[in-house]
Amino acid sequence: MNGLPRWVVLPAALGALLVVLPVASLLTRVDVGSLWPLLTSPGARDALWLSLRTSVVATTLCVALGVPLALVLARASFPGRRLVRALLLLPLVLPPVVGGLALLTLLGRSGLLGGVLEVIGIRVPFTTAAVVLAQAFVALPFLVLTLDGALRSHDTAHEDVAATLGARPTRVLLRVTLPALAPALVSGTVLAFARALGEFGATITFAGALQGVTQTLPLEIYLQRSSDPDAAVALSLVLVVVALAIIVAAYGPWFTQAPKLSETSRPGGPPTSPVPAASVVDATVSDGSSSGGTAAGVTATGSAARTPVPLTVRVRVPGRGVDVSLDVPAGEVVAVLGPNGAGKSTLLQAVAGLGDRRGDVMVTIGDRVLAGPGVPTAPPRDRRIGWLGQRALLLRHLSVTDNVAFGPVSRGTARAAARAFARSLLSDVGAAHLAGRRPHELSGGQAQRVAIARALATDPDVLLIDEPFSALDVGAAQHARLLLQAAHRAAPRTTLLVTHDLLDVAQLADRVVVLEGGRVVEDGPTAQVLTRPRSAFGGRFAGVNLLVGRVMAVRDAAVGDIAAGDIAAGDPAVGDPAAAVEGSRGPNGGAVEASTAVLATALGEVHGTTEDALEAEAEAVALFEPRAVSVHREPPGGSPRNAFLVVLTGIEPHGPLLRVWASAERGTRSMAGARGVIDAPPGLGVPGGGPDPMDLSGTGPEQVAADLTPAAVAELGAVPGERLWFVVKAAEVTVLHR
Amino acid sequence: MVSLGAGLVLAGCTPASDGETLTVLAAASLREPFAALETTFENAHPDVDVTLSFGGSSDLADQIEAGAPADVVATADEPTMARLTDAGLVGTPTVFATNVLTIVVPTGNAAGVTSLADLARRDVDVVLCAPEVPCGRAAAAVTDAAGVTPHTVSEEPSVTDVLAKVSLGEADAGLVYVTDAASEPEDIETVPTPEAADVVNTYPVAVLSDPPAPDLADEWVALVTGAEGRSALSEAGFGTP
Repeated sequence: MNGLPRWVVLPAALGALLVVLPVASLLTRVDVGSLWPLLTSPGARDALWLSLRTSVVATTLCVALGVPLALVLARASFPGRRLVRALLLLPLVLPPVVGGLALLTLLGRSGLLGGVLEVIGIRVPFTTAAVVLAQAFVALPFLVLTLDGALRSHDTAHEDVAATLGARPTRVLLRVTLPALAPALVSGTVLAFARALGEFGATITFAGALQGVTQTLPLEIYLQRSSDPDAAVALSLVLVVVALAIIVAAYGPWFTQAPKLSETSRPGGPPTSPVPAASVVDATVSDGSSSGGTAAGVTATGSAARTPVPLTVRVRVPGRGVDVSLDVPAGEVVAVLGPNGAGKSTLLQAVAGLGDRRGDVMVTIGDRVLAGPGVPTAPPRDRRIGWLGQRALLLRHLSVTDNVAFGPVSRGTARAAARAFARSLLSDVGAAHLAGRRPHELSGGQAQRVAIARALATDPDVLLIDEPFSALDVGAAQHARLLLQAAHRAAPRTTLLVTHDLLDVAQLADRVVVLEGGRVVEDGPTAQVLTRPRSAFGGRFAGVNLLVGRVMAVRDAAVGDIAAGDIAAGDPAVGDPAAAVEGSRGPNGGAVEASTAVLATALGEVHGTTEDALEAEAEAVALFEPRAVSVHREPPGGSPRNAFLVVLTGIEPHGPLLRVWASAERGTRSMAGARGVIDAPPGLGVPGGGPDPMDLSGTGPEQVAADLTPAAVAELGAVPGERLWFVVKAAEVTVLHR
Repeated sequence: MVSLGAGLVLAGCTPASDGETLTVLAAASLREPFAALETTFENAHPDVDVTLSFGGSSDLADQIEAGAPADVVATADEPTMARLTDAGLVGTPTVFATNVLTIVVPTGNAAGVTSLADLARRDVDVVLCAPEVPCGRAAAAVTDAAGVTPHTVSEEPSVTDVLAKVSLGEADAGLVYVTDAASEPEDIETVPTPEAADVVNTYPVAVLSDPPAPDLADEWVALVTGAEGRSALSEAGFGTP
């Protein structure tokens, strides 16, 4: 039973009986013979008709006022919002009679407003309008609370995307927010109508009871009960039947749609058309190619006209320690890497104009200053950006074609032209056969392809991509990645790409920027960062061991040792250490000969080769491949340059090998060798265990990896927590300045 | 289920001693005189706890039809009591009090209502009891006899609702029982209504057919119809037969 425990059936049945049994037993009291004359009596007819009219008007009033109220409560932030929300609950708590009294004290003859109204000849109590007001008073909270709950359980991701596509706030509200709210709106409206129809206490107090004017069916029933209980029962039956008919009519469409919605979970999406897939593709493709060209000509945003523009962004949020500046030349794709909380999303949102507006933000796209000191901040819709996120965020109630056409239509393209253009884009991304489908009929990969087409449909100046394929399986992700790559080759576009995926970076990015703790810690061409990373995160991302440390000494191959102490003393014979290193290369006629360098790191002294000009005490990184590391239980014999005493933290499969992870042991500092205590850089303290070393989302303690054959691991027989020696030849270690 | 619920209710009302309980259902307008008589009765019977339950007369009749455990019932009109006698649920009723209607107006009488005939004026908003309830029947009888068609803006389900609308100033005039008018001296004034004297409403009291405390029930009826009862009722504005 859908995973529910069986025992819930009993309280569920009792709950249903609590409601159904009394109503059912009421029906047994109805005298069928007297029913017809009673129902056709003028009193009952008037009361029923009045009840229906007033309830419909009151419900309309509730929707007209309650929907905006719920939107403001859920989405706007203003002081006292919680108080307002609590006050709106009052009509649910107040006895309706007190509610009626409250209305009287406001709108009654001697009330706060009623006195004024009386002067201009308006009398509210004892009128049908008073009935409507009383009903709306008690019914409004049902609608508002239902909608408010639904709104608060939705995030605004769809609204944000619609804004980046150029939709104005009213269009976002009408075309995105309200359609998504439709089920809650229906429930809330039905609840409000039912409450209005059954309203008694506030009505009798505020509006009184007069046949045909204010005497609604509940009042008529109450009065009948004192003289003719059987008539009251019969009239109650009428109320029950009317209420049921309306509720069934209102819920009907949603009940019939329910099975359709459940198909979303079916993998691959259900076949919706009996036509063979191939013929659908042909038809759509030919359609798309015939009209697509004209559409591209019609739209002002035709891709032929656009030339790439540069992007400059600076974000400073002191409260969150974010301070990032980035210049992206026209048409460049920059991958933004970094652990969670490093500021990647903040950067993207700053460019898009989404998210909270705290901090100083400067954004320039081409020659358009979109945010900055003394400049009005441009809303997302005016920034000419495209947004592609982890979720496709297609609008559920629109077809695939209309989703893609949403942006052009929002920017003023005629609907037919926008649709034709959308179809041509869909065929560009290989999704022409999906044109008529609804988003819930698409697989994840199909939805993301449609999202790509939609993001490109407005021909944005800057494309912002946030972990676009992380929710897709490998095949679908690769397909989507190639689509983006092809689109970029056809028309280069300045792009920021936030990702945790090496393939995204390798296939799409020209340049990599690594953020850590809200700062840019690494910035370089993709090939360089992937092969010679200089940040801890960059190293882990590229799959190499990276140790951060300080230069203790540099030994040049030709000149001999340059001791750090000598450099610090400013020996006139050596001079500037950088010059010395450079100078040493001179005589070799440009044939670069590697020097060796010694770093002090969290793991101890690290010896490696370097081609960089390094200064003593400068920050530097040591890189070495996990397969260059050998692992021993005992201290290695002889005198290898690099032997680290480490603690095993985990073992995991890595291709045909096993990757052995370890971190520096607490207390390693004191064993760090001849030079004494290591001055490890801040934030890289010696760890004792730590998080999953492959977890790229966080800055864990410094971890090193060794790749071993399964046989070697078996022979080693080590378990996590055990001490081991990691040994790597100095020739395998590359030292780079930071 | 009913007896269990009633047992709980009675347990809550009964003093620690294992004395008897007398349950009296009475029309809401009898609240004041009956509360005074409760004290009198309990002083005379220290072991007895009198439980008074007030409500609209037809509500009381509904409760008795549904088997509510009670000993005595006093209604505000004879037709309602007739429902119970016809169903054999109560013994022979005794009329113990009378009541007549009067015009009430908000304090200050802004509309200048001075007679029953003024209730027909278009500028006077009148609230009456609905014809389905006893006070409404009485009001209809008074206005019909006087040949007045009141300018009614609302027909309320109870006297209390009529009084509330007049005392709040929402209505210019209403017709209520003199006893009800006496209970709200602050916000309302009464207008002499000689035409109402002919339409006398009578209050019957009766012992239920199978009361839990039959002896005490008879004693309560005797108290209400006796000298002490008449005195308490007169004080509250009732007439006595």
